[in-house]
Parts: sequence; C-alpha cells; structure tokens
Amino acid sequence: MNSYFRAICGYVCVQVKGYGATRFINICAKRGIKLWNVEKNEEGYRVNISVSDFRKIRNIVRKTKVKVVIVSKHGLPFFFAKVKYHKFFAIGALVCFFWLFIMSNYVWAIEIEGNISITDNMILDYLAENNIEIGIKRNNIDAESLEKMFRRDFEDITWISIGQDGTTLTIDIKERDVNVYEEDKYVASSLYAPHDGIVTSIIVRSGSACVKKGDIVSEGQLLVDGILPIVKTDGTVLGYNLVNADADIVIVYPEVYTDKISIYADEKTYTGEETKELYLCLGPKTLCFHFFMPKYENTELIQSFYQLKLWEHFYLPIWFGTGIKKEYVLERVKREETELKDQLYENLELFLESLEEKGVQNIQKDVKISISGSMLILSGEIHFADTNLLRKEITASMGTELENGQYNTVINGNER
Amino acid sequence: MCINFSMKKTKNLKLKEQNEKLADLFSLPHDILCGASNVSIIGSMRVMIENYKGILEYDRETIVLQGKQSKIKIIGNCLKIRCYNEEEMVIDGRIDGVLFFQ
Repeated sequence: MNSYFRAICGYVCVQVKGYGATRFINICAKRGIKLWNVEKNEEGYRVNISVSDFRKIRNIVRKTKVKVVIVSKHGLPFFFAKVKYHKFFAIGALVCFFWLFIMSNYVWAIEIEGNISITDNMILDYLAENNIEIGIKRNNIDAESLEKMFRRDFEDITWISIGQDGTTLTIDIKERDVNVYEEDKYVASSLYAPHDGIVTSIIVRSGSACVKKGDIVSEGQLLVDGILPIVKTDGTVLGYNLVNADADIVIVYPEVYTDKISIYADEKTYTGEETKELYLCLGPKTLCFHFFMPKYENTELIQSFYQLKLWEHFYLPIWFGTGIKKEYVLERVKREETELKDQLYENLELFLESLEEKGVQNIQKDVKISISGSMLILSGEIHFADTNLLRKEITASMGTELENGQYNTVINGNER
Repeated sequence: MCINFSMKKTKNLKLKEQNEKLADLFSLPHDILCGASNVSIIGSMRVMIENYKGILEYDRETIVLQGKQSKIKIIGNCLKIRCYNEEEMVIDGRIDGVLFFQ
C-alpha cells in the first residue's frame, strides 16, 4: 500500500556522495525525512526519497557537505510531466479508458450452465424474443421478471438464476427429472396403448386390467383403468376409487423400415488452392472486415472467432476471427456397393439404438437390400417390444359421469 | 570539570537503575522507560530495530547502529536498509548475527 502511495506522490532515487554521507542520512531520519531502499555502494549511498521530502534536504546537504545527484525519477508527477510532450498518447489513453467504461455497461457474452434437454440455442432464441441479446444495456435486464418468465414458459425448469458478472450474463438452470414429474403429475390416471400391437406380457400393480396376454390392441385403447369400482357382495356398485394406474405391459408391434441411399454421389475434390481470411468484428458481429477476398467458384469456409476479454467475465465487443477458404470441384462418382451397404446397416443400428434408449426393444428384424435405379434400398419389417404406455388423467368430468357421483381418490393407499 | 562529569555519570546510572526497577515493579516495557532498543528478527532475512539514534557504519556485510544504551552490530550478507526513519529501521538481507556492545 505504501509503495502505491509513493508511486502516486512521486519519488526520486538519489546518489549521496561525500565524506558525510552517513551523517546526511542520519540527519534526514532525525528530521522526519523518510528514506527507503538505502544501499551502500562505492561512491556513497543510494537512497529513495519522496518528492516533497527532496525539497527539504537542501539545508542538510549544505550542512553535511555532500553531493546529491538524482539517478532516476518515478511516479505519477513525472509521468504527467512526460505526457505533456506526448499529447496524442494521453488523449488515446483517456479515450480508451472512457470507451472501456462505456462498454462495461453492456452485455457482451451470455453463458448458460446446467441445461440438459433445453439447448443453448432454445434459450438464446427465447432471450432474443424478449429483446435480450448481446449488446443490450445491463440496466435494461430485469433478472427477477426474466426468471419468472423462464419458469412460466419452460415447464422443465425447476430452478433458474440469472445474474450479471462483468459484461457477461450468466444463466444457471436446474432441470426437472422427467420420471419424477410423470409420477407426480396426476392425481388419478389410466394407461392406454400407444399404438396397435399384441400384448405379450402384463403385470398390473395398480388399477384394473382391461386386456389380457395375447390380446390384440389398437392405438389409444384402454389397457389399465384407474377407476376401481367398490362392489358389494350382492354385485351392486357402492362407489368408485380413483387411482394412478401402474403396470408393466409389453406390446409387440411390427413396423416397416425403409432407408435408401444413392449409388452416385457428388464428391468434393480439393484443388489445393486455399486462402486465409482475417476478421475483425466490432459490436455483435455486425461490422466485419475481410482483409482478403478470394475469388473461387466452389469454396468451403472454416471460421473460428475469438472474443476479446480483459479478464474472466469482462468481455469486450471485439471479435477476432480467422477463416480458411478451400477451393473444391464437385465430381459425380460411383460409390462402392459394400461401403454403401455398411452405411445402410449402420443407419439401421443407429435407428434401433435410438429407440432402445426410449425403451423400445427390437425383437425381430427381417430386412434386405435391393437396388432400384440409382438407389440402394434397405427395407423390411422389424418387430418391436414397447413398454412405454400412454398415461391420461382421469378428469373431474369423468368422475361425475360415474354412478351417483360417489368416488374416492386413493393414492399410495391413503384416501383423500 | 572531571568531578562534574563523574557525578553526572553516577546520576545517570542511578536514574537508569531506578527506571529498571520501576519497569519491573509495574510490569512496564523496558524499551519505553529505559530507552532500550527493540530488535525484532524475522527468520534470517529481516531485522526491525526501534529506539536507535543513527547509523555509525554501513556496508553490505555489517551495519553498526547507535542505540540509546548500547551499539548494535548486524552481521550478514547483501544487507540493505529497506526503510529508514526516526521511529524504525528495517534491514533486509541474509542475517548472520546481531551483536550488542558498548
């Protein structure tokens, strides 16, 4: 802290020469003149002394008969004295400082964290719809109302925090666990068939089964009912209990799969000609300078941008970019049949894997490859076993349709 | 003149003894009452001295200071006075020893 204060006030490094050099520094200390970095050398002493104290040593110098020579000058007073002769540099520094101050009032980067199913682009588009884009003034962002809007429009967001860090708008998101959501969503519900098929297995944990193993069901057919009748011994219905139907039902269904690929393809052949571009973008990528402009017919452009920042969250509205433009010529080539077959099978595997992730298993596949004109077609029938069921809520209107309107809702064995 | 000087010396010694006794009696710091130098050593690279009069000798290997009661000799290597004012002196460098002598 002391050194900063000294730098602001200014100090000089002096060489004290002469027989009474030691006496000189002793008298200085006695008279309250602060010295620091006192070093002995062949000529005498080299000491640092503040500018204000330097003006007081005249009498001491005379008294001790030493010679004091200024070796170097440090601090702001000397800097300003120098700057007097470099006016444009000083103006430039001032303008730069002013520009930084103005720019720090705007948002120049948006950082999103914690999102899984909601993509960055979805959030950025939503922000843009609400007039929040890169370049907006920081004061114009009402984080609290924006958080409310996010929670209202994105059901999967359970927690969101919007804050500003430097010139960065930070958005932290916590998403809802889908499975928990499904369970807690309804008070009472029934299960329905998601598509046509045959029931190969049925285990009911809650609700009354409306189908049995081996039944053929159609899309939207009721499988497990969440309305349980309370029946007396003589067969009369006393009332109804409403529950969340729960069951493991496997529905097997066939599906026709077709995938085709062209034998001929337009292949890029690079000529080896390429040029590099440099970009300088000021503002939110509105003003771009291309330093070199190549003239190719067909080009492939690879760009990369780097945003300038002073420190971690202090981004500036300046983007540097590089681009490589490669020239290519399109050639129509006939592709190898084995290669195409491999690609078709790979596509099929990817398709099956994506379904498996959703809980749909492939139990039988009968596919073959045929050639039709310039196309190679993979087609056939695949049997899937689906365990996903459609859940629909039992609404109040359905309840009133029940006899006498008497019904109870049973959730986890507790009556409501 | 000689008698006067010896009388003054005995008077000073008496005063010093009295001060020491007083400091012991009331558990007061000796450096305030007796004017003893306060020397703090941090590791072997820094010495801070308070209650001194001035520098007697200074080079890169030894610094001799005039204390209020005795002389203080700091022996070491690359010795440099970091800060020098009326109240305290800070000496940096590789400190080998501190010696008190009359």
